[in-house]
Amino acid sequence: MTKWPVLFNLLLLLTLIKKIDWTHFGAAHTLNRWYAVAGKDIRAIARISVADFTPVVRQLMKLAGILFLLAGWMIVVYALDLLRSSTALVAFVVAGVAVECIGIFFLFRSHLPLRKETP
Amino acid sequence: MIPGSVSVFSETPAGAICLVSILLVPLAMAGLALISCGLGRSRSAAHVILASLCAVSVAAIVYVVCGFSWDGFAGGPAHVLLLRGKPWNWIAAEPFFLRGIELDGSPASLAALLQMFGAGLAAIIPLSATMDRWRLSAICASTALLASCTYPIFAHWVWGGGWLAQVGDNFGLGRGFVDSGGASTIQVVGGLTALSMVWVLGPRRDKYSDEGMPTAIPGHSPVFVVFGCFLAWLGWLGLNSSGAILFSHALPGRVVLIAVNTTLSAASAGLMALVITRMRFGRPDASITANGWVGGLVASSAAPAFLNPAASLIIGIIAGVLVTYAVDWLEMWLKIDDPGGAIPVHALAGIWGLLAVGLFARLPGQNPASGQWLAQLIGIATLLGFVLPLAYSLNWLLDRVYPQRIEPDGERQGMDLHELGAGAYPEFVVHTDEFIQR
Repeated sequence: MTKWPVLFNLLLLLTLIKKIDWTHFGAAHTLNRWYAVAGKDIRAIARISVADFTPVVRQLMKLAGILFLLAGWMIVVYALDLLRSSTALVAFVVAGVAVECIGIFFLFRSHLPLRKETP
Repeated sequence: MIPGSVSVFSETPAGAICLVSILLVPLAMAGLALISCGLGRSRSAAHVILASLCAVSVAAIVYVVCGFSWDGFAGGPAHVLLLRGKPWNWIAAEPFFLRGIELDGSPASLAALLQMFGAGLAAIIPLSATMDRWRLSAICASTALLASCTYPIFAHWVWGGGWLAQVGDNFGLGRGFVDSGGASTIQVVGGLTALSMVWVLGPRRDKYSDEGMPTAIPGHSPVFVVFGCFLAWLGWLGLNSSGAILFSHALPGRVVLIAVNTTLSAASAGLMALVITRMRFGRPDASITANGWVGGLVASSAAPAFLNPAASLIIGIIAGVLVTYAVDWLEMWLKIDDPGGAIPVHALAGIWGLLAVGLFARLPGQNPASGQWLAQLIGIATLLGFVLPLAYSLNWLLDRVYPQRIEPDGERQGMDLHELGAGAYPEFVVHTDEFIQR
């Protein structure tokens, strides 16, 4: 019974990965090669960015960003409460801040203005 | 009556200096309001200044009514959780309307006064990021949320004897999270609220072209901007001095060091911004230089009583570089329309100032390897992981029930005419759309 939420989250993650503009990342050439094999216009693919996301996906990204921020903070607070070793505490605090950075990344990307949406 | 309050505190040298310093803090509000006004368009000038006054008024009233109840004062009544034998002080439990303290010059009453001004200062910060599109009534509603919820909770954790202030005693991390002048409680909270509001409201009309390129919409009065910097400087001297005496128990003689450090940090940050803009654009830019100056003031606020002047100089230089490049970066790449630079100046420079405490400050009774930087990092993680989601969620919910953005017609017409019925400069021809891309 527990596999359906996992599958749903995996599907959501795959949707997000497909929408992300991978041309800014190291994997760009791999994706471009794949699209070239598929006979698609790479320049058009490269222009796809988060700004082209549907409003539903953007709302989900905002929610994910908020949850990442809260999760990062909770990691820091729980580490402070549970850990006594200073090395482990440093590692978990830094990990919590890193999770928060992912949340901020999501929030910034999900708030890029849609094209031609200015009133 | 809060235990430990000394009713004759204001008659001691420390109390007298503290009281006079607190009374300088409204000048910082005036300075920030003038800077916001000057960086905005002439057709919204009166709206910005009036909105600043309204924000300060609402913040002061709401803070006195209920904000201080959650904020409190170190040693006062609070809700404390005991986890694994360690106390976690989450929120104060003061009665409403400041009924738990005597307003007689005791440390508790001075803290309440300083924090009332602090709430007003934090409330003004988002206005400079959201000029030309935030309705006056929505500004008042959002400010009420800030002064009743976001600001007091975090201020209690830092200044009210909360869990962040106690991470030193409870977990052996230096002297706990240190922020004597409000770099986190006022500046970063205000800056993150500004970021939330920019996200909620979106960019100004025609700020970005269809291709996503930003349009330069220059401020209407560099004179206001630079004069605002002078006023903010005076206000910050008071803010840093009073905060250090009240919350870090600095001796009154330290006020000289605080003034030197505050000035050095602001001066180096402002000059750095001037030099960078001169090198990049061929001419120094007044607005970025002013942003650098205020960024230096913000970065100096974390622990000015415990830094040496050379460290303040370095902190200011780095703050100037950060602010100058972050303004461009936010506008060009992240499409954040922040006309007053509130996010880089208050949030980013504030976070840098907090980190710098862990790197440069020599706190009394502390050895250098005591984990102070980790305490500062925990405080920054709390700002990003708690304050930002809280401010964003509250303002997003408010926007759902009460739309905060002005109608498109109002934005086209200008906030002064649309909301106030009269322009700020009726005897002059008001510029309208000549800076807008056609």
